[in-house]
Amino acid sequence: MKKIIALILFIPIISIAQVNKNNVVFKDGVEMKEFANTFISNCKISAGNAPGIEAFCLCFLENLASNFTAEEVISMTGEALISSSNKVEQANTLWQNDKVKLITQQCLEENAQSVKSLEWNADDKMIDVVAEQHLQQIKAESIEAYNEASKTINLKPYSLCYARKLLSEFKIADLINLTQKQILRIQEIQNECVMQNLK
Amino acid sequence: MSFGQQSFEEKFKDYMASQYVSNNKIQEYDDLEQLEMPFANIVGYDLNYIPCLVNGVYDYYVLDTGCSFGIAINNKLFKKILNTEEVFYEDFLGGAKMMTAVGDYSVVRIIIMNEVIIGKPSKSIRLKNVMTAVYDSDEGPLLLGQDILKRFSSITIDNKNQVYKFKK
Repeated sequence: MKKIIALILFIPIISIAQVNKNNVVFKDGVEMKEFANTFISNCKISAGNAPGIEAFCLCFLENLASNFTAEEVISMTGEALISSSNKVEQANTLWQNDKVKLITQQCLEENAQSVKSLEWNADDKMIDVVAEQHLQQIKAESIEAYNEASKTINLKPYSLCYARKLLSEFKIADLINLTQKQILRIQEIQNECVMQNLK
Repeated sequence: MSFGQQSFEEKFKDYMASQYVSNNKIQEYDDLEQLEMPFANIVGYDLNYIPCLVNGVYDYYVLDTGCSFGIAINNKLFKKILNTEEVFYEDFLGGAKMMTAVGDYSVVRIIIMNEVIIGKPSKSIRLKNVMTAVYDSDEGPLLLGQDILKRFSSITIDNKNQVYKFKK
């Protein structure tokens, strides 16, 4: 479930540095002047300057720099930017990289308190992306099971139903540490959406 | 690096192309043992791409074992490559009929590209004289096929680590 929050939080990092003061040293030793400040600043703005969000942004940048070379970061962010004009889709493109996913999850866990005040605006595009991510997660668990399910369930409308309900009923804070009751509710949502979309 | 919003894609690709020269880390095919190339994600969820610099023009290609040419490119990209003035009359071999994935036939122009560099600037291999098909569409996908793949003893798709491994 944290994957969904991660997506939302990840949007801020998609920006190419233009004016910065501090340097970042990447995995390959390449130093990028004027990168850190703009990165952190964009990250905070995109997160609505939520209290404590800077710690998450900093964690993310530090981990990005220690796991990737400067070229990798530039090409990944550039590829995300050219993938779509929509920020949620851009974030999702970037997020296809497993290391990026891991870093995001790690920083979320380390900064759970600071991301609690964040809220999302679940528009149609975000619902589309979360729905597609849900299908990808099912596929990642078992392509066989995914294909089998597609015989009996209209998976696309099912995933849209799931994403719409999930985003309307849960807040980011809820999804960081799900209670047993919330986990059950999510299972209920899945069941409801399956029943509504049987072939 | 600073980009304006207008034609960001073009500027980004030009920037990436410039990095091959400034990094100076292109491996020659003769010196190669193995090279790992991370997947590039640019569109959609299920497709992974390989960045290539073809006669100086940077773009993203889908690895396609069903493509008999080294690369198959669309008209739009070919025009861009022509603008580099690196393609000459003697590189044009003529036309050919090619069967598409759905069994239709399509007429393509066959060109020998002098240089195709596969991979990102800091991890790339230079290949010479690559058989290229130019098909008559401006929007179709760019493919990386057999004329390149057969130059390697093995190519591994490592889904777990999200890399392609090219071994000579």
